[in-house]
Amino acid sequence: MLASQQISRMPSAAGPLASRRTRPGMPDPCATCAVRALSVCAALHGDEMEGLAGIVGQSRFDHGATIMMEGDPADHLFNIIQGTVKIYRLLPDGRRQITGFLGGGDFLGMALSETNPYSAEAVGPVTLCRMPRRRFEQLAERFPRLERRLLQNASNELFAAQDQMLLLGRKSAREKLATFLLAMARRAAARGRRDDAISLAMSRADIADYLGLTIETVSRTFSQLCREGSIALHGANQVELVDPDALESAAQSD
Amino acid sequence: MPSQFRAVPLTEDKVAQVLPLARSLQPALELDAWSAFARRRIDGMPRSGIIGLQDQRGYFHGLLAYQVRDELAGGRTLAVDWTTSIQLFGEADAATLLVRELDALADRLECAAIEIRLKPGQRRLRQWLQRAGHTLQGVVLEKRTAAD
Repeated sequence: MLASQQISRMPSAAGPLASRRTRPGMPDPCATCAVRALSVCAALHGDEMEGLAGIVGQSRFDHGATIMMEGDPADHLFNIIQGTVKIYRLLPDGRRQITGFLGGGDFLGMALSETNPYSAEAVGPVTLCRMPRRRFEQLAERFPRLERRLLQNASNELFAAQDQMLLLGRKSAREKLATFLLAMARRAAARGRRDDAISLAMSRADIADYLGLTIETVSRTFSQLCREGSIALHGANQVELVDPDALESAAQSD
Repeated sequence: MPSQFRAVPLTEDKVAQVLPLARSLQPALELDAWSAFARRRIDGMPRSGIIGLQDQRGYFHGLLAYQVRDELAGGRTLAVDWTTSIQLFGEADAATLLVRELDALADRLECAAIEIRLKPGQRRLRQWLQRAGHTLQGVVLEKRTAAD
């Protein structure tokens, strides 16, 4: 299934893939990047930013394309500029456990080992900055601010993973889905968007994989939360948080 | 200054939560294998167990798995065969607490020595331990067998 997915790559406006460099007189695409304030790049200024721009290439992936595979050499890091990425691990029995959804400004590919700890796949069209790991690590050694920001990122990633393990261990589908929707709303708010109306890029099947539920249970639970008046659905993927307090209560316990 | 972390014995209800941290040492580790390992250690308390370094929000930053062994040469020994502590903000604080906890554990379990196995990549943790008086006493050779 994964092998048949196509990866499409698009040269950046400033030059061919993996060779975008800032030159005197040329506009610096990083300076106008919409997610810079949210990403690890926010820690950089002046020469540091130029150093980073010198190793960055931009890639575009179509929906369903594999960005990185679990177990492959971890030789690139990615900064998501636009779109949603799901990260997952394959379980020994062949099932897939989605371990997170990442969006604009998130960093992808931090690995403590030499191989990718998970796979990543585009959910809808995705645009990324792509950096060779070794060169990025050299930059981080030169620029302590970047290193600190990376450590902060690694911590947040670890905490999110611990949160997901707690979430999976919770008892009811209602509690899991309410927690997920609130997390998506907080994420939207952190990106300056409305927190009472969220747009879900991922399918019900992806949500089911993430929460350790079946698709049918996810659909039923959406309906239940609608009936209770906590949320309203506008189409399949637009969710309005009608009563956030009720949703908070649902997230705590049944 | 009080530590931002506290050392707590890992309990069964926290075993799944710390899996992502355990994977920082062993990336391919699956929940079933980790749960079985952790439960064996927890069931064997106080002669074995797992200690977690937890922050005020409840997140874990470090783990160490131990068991007491009776060594012919060294006598009663606290054998720490599985340690992970990620390099984060507060690393010095976490490492200091980890070293202190090892000493306290050895004291409680009346162990004459502490023996720690580290992975080749755990250089920073090794430095912290050596600063705290742990010395290199040998090397571990390993070969995977056909039964693996």
